[in-house]
Amino acid sequence: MKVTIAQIGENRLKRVLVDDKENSPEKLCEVLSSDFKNVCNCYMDEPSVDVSADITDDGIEFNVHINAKRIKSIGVLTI
Amino acid sequence: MARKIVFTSGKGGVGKTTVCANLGATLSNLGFRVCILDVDIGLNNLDVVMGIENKVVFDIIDVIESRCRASQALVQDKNFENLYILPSAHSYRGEEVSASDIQNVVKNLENSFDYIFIDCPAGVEQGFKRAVSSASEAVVVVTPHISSIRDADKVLSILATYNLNQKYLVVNRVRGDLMMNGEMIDVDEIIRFLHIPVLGVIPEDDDITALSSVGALGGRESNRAWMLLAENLHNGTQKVFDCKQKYRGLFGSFRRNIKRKV
Repeated sequence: MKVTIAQIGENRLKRVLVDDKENSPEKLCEVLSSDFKNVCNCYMDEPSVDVSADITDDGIEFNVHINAKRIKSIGVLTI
Repeated sequence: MARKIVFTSGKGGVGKTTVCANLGATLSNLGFRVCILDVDIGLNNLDVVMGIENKVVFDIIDVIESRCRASQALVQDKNFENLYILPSAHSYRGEEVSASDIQNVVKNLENSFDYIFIDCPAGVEQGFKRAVSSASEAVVVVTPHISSIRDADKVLSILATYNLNQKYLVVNRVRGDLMMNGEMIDVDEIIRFLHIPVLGVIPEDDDITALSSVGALGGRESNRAWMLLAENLHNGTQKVFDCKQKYRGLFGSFRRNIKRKV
C-alpha cells in the first residue's frame, strides 16, 4: 500500500514529539526524584521524594519535598 | 466577571491574532461584551488586523504607566459594538513590563466584560509569561504543520506549570482537500498527539487573507467554523467544523482535484 505524505508527516511528528519528551521538565523531575531518593536512602528509612518544577520570572524553580519514616542511626549509615 | 483567556501557540504566524479577533467578533455579535488585549509589546498587530490603527490614542503602556485609565485606552471596533481592543505599543521594548502590570490591567477590566482575550506573543519568553500569568484559561492555536504542532506540545508542557482552569486546542488553516488527498496531517491525529479538548477547527479561507488587507474580519468559508468555535467556548459543546465535507463524493473529488491543478 502506498504511504501518503500525511502518514510520513505523522510518523515524523510522532518521532519528534517523543524525542522532545526525553528533555521535558517532567522527565527531568523524574530523574531528579530518583537521584534524590538514592541519596536520601543513605540517611533515612523509606524516604519518598517529590520534585516539581515551576517556570518563574527568574527561571525555573525546583521544589523538592522529602518525607521519611525516620533518620538512620549513625552506626548504619551506608556512606 | 469576565473569562480571561490567553491565545498562545509558541510558533509565530499560526493565526493567534486572527483567531482572537474573529472569535471576539463572533461572540460580540452574539451579544457578549468582549475585550481583546494585545500584549505583544513592540511587535503588536492586532490594531492592524482589526483595522483600528487610526483610532488608537492610548495604549497598554499608557495604562501601565498611569497616563490614562484602562477604560480610556479601549478602542471600540468599527463593525462590532460589543467588541473593544486595548492596543499595544509599537515603539516600546517591553522589558520593563512585568506580569503583575498586565494582571492589574486585566483586573481593572474584568468587571466590564464577559470575555477578556489576551493575544500572546510568539515564543515562550518574558512576553509569553506575562500573557499567560494574567489568564485563567488558555487556547493553544496550531496549524497542521509539524513545526507548529511541536511548538504547541512544548507550550502545553509549560502551561502545565501555570494555574490554569482549562486548556483548549484550535486547529487553524486546515485544508480539507489536502487532508482528503492524504497530503496534510489529519486533524484527528493532531488532536490525538496533543491530547487536549478541541475547541474548533478553522478552514484555510482566502477571504481572511484578502480581508486582512483592508482591516476587516470574517470569511465566507470560515464563518460557520467561527460560529461553532464561539458556541463551543461559551456553552462547553464540542461541535467541530468538518473541513473535508465539501470535498467528499463525486463532486468533492472533482473540486479537490481542480483546486490542486489550478
